[in-house]
Amino acid sequence: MMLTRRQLAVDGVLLAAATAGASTALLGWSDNPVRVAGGLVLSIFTPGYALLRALFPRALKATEQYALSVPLSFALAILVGTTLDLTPVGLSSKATVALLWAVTVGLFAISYLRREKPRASPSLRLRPASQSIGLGSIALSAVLLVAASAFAATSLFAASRATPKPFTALSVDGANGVQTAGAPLTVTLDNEEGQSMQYDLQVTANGAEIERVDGVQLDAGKHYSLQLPLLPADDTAGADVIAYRSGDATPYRLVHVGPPSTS
Amino acid sequence: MSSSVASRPSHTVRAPVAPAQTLEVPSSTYAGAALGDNSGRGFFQRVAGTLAILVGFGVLGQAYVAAPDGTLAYAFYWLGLAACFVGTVAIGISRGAQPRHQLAALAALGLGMYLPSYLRNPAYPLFQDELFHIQTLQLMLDYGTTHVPITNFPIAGAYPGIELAGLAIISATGLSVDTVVRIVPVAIHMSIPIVAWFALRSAGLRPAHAFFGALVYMANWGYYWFHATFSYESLGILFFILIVALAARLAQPKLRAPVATTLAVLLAGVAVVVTHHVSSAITIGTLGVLAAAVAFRLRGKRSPLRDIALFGLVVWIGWLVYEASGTIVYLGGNFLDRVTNLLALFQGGSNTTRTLFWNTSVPLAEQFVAYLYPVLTFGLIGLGLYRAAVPVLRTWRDQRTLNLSAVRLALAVVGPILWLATAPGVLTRTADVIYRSWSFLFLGVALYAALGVRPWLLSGSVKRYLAYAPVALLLAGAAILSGNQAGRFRTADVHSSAGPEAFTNDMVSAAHWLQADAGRFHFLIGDSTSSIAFAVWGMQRTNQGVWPVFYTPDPQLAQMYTNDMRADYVAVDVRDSEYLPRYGFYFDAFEFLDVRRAVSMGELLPLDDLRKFDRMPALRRVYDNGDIVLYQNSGVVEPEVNQ
Repeated sequence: MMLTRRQLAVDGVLLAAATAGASTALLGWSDNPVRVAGGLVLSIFTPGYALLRALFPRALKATEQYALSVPLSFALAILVGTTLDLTPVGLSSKATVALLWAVTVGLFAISYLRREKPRASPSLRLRPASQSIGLGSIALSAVLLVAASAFAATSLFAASRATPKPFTALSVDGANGVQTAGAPLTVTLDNEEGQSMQYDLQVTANGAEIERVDGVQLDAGKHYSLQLPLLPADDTAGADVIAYRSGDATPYRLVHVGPPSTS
Repeated sequence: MSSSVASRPSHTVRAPVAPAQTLEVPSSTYAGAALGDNSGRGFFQRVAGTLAILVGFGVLGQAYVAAPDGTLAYAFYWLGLAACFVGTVAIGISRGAQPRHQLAALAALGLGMYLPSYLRNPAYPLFQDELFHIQTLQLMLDYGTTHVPITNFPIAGAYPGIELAGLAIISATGLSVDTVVRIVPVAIHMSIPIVAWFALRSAGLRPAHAFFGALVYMANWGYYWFHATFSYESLGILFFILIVALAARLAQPKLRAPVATTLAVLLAGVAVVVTHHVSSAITIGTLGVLAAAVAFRLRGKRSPLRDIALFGLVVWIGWLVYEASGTIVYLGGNFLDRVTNLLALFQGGSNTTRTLFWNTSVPLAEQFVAYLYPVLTFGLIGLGLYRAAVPVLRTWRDQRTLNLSAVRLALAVVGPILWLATAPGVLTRTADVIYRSWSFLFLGVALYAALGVRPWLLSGSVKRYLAYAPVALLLAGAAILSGNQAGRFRTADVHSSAGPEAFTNDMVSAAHWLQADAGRFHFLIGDSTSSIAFAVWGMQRTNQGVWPVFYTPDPQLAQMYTNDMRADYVAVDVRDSEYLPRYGFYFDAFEFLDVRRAVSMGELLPLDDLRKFDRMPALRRVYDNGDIVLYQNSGVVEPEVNQ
């Protein structure tokens, strides 16, 4: 089968999309819809499509051409990545995009060079008789499809909004939690409960309360930091920092600062 | 003459012969074309099918908006899947349906069957097999090489195929890792049934039969959920089917475009070797069986399949030696473990079988459907083998020749025969391996299932529709059997600990906090879930074999173990004392070998064993979010370095 106008148009569109994706990627544009759309075409579809065109220039059926393009694009992306990984360039984003695009263009060039000359005689392929479907029916179908698409989209959008599990975190900043050279320690209270919360904070050392902050009001997603008083130099047990939900006598969260607790 | 030919309608219209170099098998008929219908009926049926699929998507979404685990959620879930299936079948068997209609419908069903996996937890993936690859991808992005310091499961990095595919998308689009690890599985999930359709066409099925076979293939254990994940096996299986589809073309007596097809097979072959160890091994084995079948059937005719199989073997061994030598120990250990278990089973040993649906929330009615799954598969296989065997035996009796193509011969072995041989294994502790192997064997199963119902699919009667009923049940059974291991719906409370359900956002947040606060690559010990979460989202070094620290109420002894392991941090998931573990163990499967300690064995982890961490001499509680408590260990003494 010779290269038809339609195929040329499809090739052109795909090549243009891939080139747009590659250009925007190489220019470093981020959060750009052209880069996302073109990049998806470049990385998921076009390399495999071009490969099939180069290997089977006498035109595969369109179904074969489109359907096998995705897995072969993945295969080419893997080979491109493996090749780059063996070079000093490594797997840099720009090198990956540039090589993937170059391979795609090269394969398109090969397919063009291997294209079949136009035949003298027209195709004898039989086409089914045109279907007699009224415009009204087509319009009604289109309306129904749009309505169903809208239902699917809104439903999936609502379902994709995950409700995270509510929690409160109390943590010691710096993670090593050891007071050195007289530097103060900080603990942080994070409210991830999804609602405004009120907490009381208590710091105890050797069983005695050395600091207390009541009525810490935190909106959802906000945090509160408490700088702790310096512990006595001879302290060997460190201090416990306890967070309570206001009005609740049961400790809600607890961390320990200073030397490890041995109690 | 085979029964199928005899039952072909007399007014069958042959579709045009494909061009010489096409990959598609020529002289095919479409179900609709065979019925000679060019009216609008087929068009409207396809519109109705599309509507059903779209409504199915929406209803599936409602299943995840409704109250979790409620009756409504279950009803929406099954209605949504059923609508997608009915819509797909309506399109595929509509009058005048072309391959493009069938393939689009199959892809849409693939998308529909992906949705539950995504909607279960849209924020991030939950399954450990994909989390390993997400860490590898993130590290490859950070370091710009495949040689990255993976902190939990190094095998994932030895086969970086899916990560390289993901990396190409990230590089080209600028999308985040979180987005790309969803895009890649969607593309794979939609492509698998399409490529399966091609593979079945390559085996000589007509489009209508290949459509049926592709639906049967989608009912393999792995497809519904396991291959909807960002895991190397998901991509490996896609390459496997692609290679079989292309190689089957090379097994035809009359070769079409042999050089080009061979090149495509070689390319896909290298990709599968780089992607997944078992997929590549099975692919090479299948190519070997196919080459042997060709040698047997087409004596004297040259076929490149033998050379392709040898090439694949060389590349596989080369990759094993060059990049993935650790796989030998990993796979060897797994293999020995399975063989030991099977031997123990044959000797009547205890604890060698598994309890079906242990610690599951699957309703009883669904469990019944799941039990039908092997029966239906067996029935379809039996019917297919019977229908294939009758003409073969007849020809053998009359002419002493084997009237079976090399592809069908090979896929009978790597298909129904191996499926039947391995099916009893699902009752043993080797079940996971058996189930996984079925994803490969189901291509042959699908071929023979389609051959079994072939006469009905071309009939204009109600039989054509009825033939799809067992496929619907088969798909439902597969969805139940291989359902999301984190549970089907989002629940307010977890149902089990030490499993994918426990990857809640408070655990992820704890892992993020540790990385932000203390940096990467500290050694952290915790249960099986914590060790993965802190590796993937916290980039900490985690390891297995840490249960001695946890299975004791003695703080001094636990401190000694912790120091011996040189752990910098201990992560305690307090839910371990509230819920049974998802997979039967809290830390790793090897804890059952520890006869000195009272390991879980169906018991909750004692609360005292977790409370002791507050009394350990060198541990300091530095983080607490209710479920997850982090302790820093200051008891590790760095060895002195001789100057």
